[in-house]
Amino acid sequence: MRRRQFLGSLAAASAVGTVATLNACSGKSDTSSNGTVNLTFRQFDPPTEIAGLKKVVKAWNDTHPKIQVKLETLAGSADYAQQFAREANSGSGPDVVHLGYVNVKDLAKPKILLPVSELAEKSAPDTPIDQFLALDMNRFDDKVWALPWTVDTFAMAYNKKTMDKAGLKPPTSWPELLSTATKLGKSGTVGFAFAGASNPDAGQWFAINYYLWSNGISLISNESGNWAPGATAEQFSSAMKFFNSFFTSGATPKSMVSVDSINDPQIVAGLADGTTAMTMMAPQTVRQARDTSTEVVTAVMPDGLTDGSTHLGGRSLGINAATDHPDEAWEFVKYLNTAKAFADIPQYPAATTVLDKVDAPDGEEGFQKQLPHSRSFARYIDGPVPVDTLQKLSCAAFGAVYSGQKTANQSAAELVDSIAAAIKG
Amino acid sequence: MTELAGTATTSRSPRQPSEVRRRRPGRIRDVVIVAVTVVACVTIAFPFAWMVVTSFFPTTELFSVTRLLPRIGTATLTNYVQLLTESNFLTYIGNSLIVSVCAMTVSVVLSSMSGYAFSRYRFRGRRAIMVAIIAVHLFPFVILITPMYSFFSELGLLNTHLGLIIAYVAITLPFASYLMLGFFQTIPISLDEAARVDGCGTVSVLFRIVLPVAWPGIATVAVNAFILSWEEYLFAKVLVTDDNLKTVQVGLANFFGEFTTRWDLVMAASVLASVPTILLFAVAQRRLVSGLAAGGVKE
Amino acid sequence: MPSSATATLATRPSIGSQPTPRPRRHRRLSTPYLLLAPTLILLGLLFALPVAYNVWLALHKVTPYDALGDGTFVGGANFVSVLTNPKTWLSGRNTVVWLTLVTVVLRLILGLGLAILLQQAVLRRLHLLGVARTILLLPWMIPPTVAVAAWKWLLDGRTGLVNKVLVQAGVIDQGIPFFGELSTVWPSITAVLVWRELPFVVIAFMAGLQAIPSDQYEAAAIDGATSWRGFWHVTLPNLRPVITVVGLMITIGSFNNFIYVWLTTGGGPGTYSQVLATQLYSTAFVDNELGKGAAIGLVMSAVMLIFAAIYLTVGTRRIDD
Repeated sequence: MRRRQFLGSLAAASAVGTVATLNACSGKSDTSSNGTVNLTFRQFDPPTEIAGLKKVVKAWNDTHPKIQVKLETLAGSADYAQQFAREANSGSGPDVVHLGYVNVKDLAKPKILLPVSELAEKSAPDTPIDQFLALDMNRFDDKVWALPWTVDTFAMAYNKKTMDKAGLKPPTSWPELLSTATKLGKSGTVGFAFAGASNPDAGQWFAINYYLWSNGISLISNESGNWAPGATAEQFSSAMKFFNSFFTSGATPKSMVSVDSINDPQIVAGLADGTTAMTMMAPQTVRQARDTSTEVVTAVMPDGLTDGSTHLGGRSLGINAATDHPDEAWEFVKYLNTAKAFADIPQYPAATTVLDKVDAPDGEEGFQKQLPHSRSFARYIDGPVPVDTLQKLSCAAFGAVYSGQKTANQSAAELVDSIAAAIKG
Repeated sequence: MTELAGTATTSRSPRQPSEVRRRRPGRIRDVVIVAVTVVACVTIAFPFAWMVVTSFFPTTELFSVTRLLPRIGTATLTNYVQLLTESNFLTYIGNSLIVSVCAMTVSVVLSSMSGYAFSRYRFRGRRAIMVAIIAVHLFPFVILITPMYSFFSELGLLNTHLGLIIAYVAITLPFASYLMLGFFQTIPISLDEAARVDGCGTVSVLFRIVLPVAWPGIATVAVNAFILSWEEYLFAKVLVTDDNLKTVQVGLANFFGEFTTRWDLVMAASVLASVPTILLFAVAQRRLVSGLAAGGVKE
Repeated sequence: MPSSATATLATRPSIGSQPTPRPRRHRRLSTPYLLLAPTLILLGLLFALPVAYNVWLALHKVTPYDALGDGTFVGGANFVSVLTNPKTWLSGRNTVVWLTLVTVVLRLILGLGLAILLQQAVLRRLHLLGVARTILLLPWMIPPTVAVAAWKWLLDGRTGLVNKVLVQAGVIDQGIPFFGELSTVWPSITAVLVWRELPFVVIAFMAGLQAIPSDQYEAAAIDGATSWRGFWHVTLPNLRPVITVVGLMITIGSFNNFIYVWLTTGGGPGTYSQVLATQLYSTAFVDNELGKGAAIGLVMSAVMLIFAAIYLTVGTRRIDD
């Protein structure tokens, strides 16, 4: 036993050791062999949403034999930015990376990204860089760290048939939304569906913010010169009571308290078959619902035509500071922002010259009308508290009220305290 | 089932004495046993059955307020067809199989060695080493993963099967060693000694006497290691980004998007992803009840 | 442990009369170390530096985006902040009572019950054994994300099958949002966790039961013991090493468990179901306070380490006798 086991373990250990040494000796894989530059572009949408993008990348590869781009998909994981940071800090990672606007600041500070403003000076994109939307989310220390690529927002999505049958129109203010939804709720329909869960990434984050902004307050602001909670406890409390009344008046079923995802299948299916009347959705989600039923159409959010009452979200393209081929990567990034690329990519471009010429697909009129009035989360990003933290605190605070864990006054006071504590750091 | 002929009296499954003496209460007892088993099976299998059902219907059918079940007429295979044509899912299953089987094998070998050492020997530092091994599982992997990534990167083990195998062996070893220790402890040392008295060398003792008796334990450790490797997500996501080398869990997670999640494909993918493990267990569960008699050493 | 039944058994010359092995002095000192070498080398190579890094992190202010080694030294400030935060203690209580204690006890009892159930001869006669064993393993086959999703759908307050059946059967008037009500959220999380993690305990106990020599039962029967006494005096003592190990494994696993609470409620409703592992994750990766998260992790490690050390000392003391 002893000899055999010993030999066995010796073999195992040496096998591992040999392979490891061999791998280490072979060195990092060469990105340019025989003159071709090989780039990696990583994006985080599911494989079922990127048919258009794949086509565009293939078109690039066909017309650029010396610069070949490999498309990587890494979806389903909220920490894609942290994973990218981990890789870039080790000197590896993709050359071009797909980022959410909220991630750019975190990656800009430790200089993990290559500022694109400098690259743009050498070789400008089709649209001048200052005519891109959401630059405020991508610019720090007078440099633009990632190029905004797509924009999106949340519009009011509703089932036309259900609304027409009830004789109601999409509301134009938040109190009107509550009364319309309550009327619908009386007939057994879900008046207004929203993800009321308390998860740190729950979808009610957007509804909460739109409501606060439309009332002239926000979670955090520096209007007084210093960063402080953007509303008093009384104001937060009345906001919580407002949202809670959706549940108490029957406008929204209590089951929504455990729904956390903004694209929850219940909401999408319910809207499509008409058992749900209204909700708020992003463009892709609307398209998914319309695949089932074209009764799903969009309108502007309540108060959505007021500047700043809704958010301008979207994604940027960043270039890894550790990349071996910054100029080629920049060429590819520029290409992705051309009108030609957006002919196949089913998103709204951030380049305003391209956006102005886009015809919104059927059912997305709400987005087209609302986008010019949306303002990004730069109002939070510029502050000392991570946006994710604000989302965590607010969703838990509002969710506590729906479930009765805390009263609205209690929860609002605690929310103010936690935001203040987070500012202090 | 696996009882050897003529060794019925030394079969290692316990027989209840009451069966021998009393017949009629025994029959009622049998009925109760079968009933409880059926209820337990149905309760436990129900969510899994639900998952299988949902994979054959479009998502819109699953959230009706009035109907208990989706309408039979809408049953479809499109979910599976789309899954297989729109993604590399079969490749992912293949990758997971390779990685999990290799990790399971190495883990079983190494853990039986350490389990044997812990159970049969008293040596200096035994308790400290036992605690040290389990200490690995006391630290959160989400925090350990960053320096590990650098380590794997330096060794060139990123985007390789070997890298994942090494990681999974390391993750499964502590609990596997403990399990082996536990199982070996149920095997009396007098077994080893009796065999040695009979003239068996240590190799024979391990392979012809101890191991056959420990076979159910080994099967348990093997299944545990396989499933832990199969369901592992964090290391697979961090260490492998190449689409051809991705494992099943990462491939499955890919369907979850910020704006859309294709639950129909997710359910179909989950059913497909369970198939290899179920097949493995259907085979292994006979091993879990090995009837080979160590009782042959009975005096 | 000794009772009249086992005292009689001890005098019998058959093998397996003692469920606990008597260790013997090793002939060559190096053998156990050689056997352990591959395990220790692999674990050491892979984990030693990261664990040291974890300790380093706990003493610094770091974000998840900083390069390895970047960070400001803050000494014990992270620990102070974590331990003086009332939320930590609430999470700790949830972790110890609901996440660990309740689920471990449920799994041990149900697991042992099911394992014994699957030993019954009648099932073998009816050829139900293989099917039953495979079915009882099914929960383990499903990835956690999908298992949680399936349960959330089944338990949904409006469209969930469970509620629809209960309402149609007249048991309740209106659907209960199981994950949204304070009174039902922990039982629901417990149900998902126990459901999915039970198979491991069942197969471990099944394997352990195999190792019990049947002649011990025969001896007990001949001495007049009923099947309950047989269970108490033969099954349990023989199974003790396996119960000990399995108990330790699932306790550690539950204490550190993150995925079930995170996916079902994210710590909600409000902060009602927050546990230490979810607090760690959200501190480290949502608040970008990696140092504080590492500190929470170390506190958890310390608790588990002490627990494991006590447990092993108590649990294995008898073995050494």
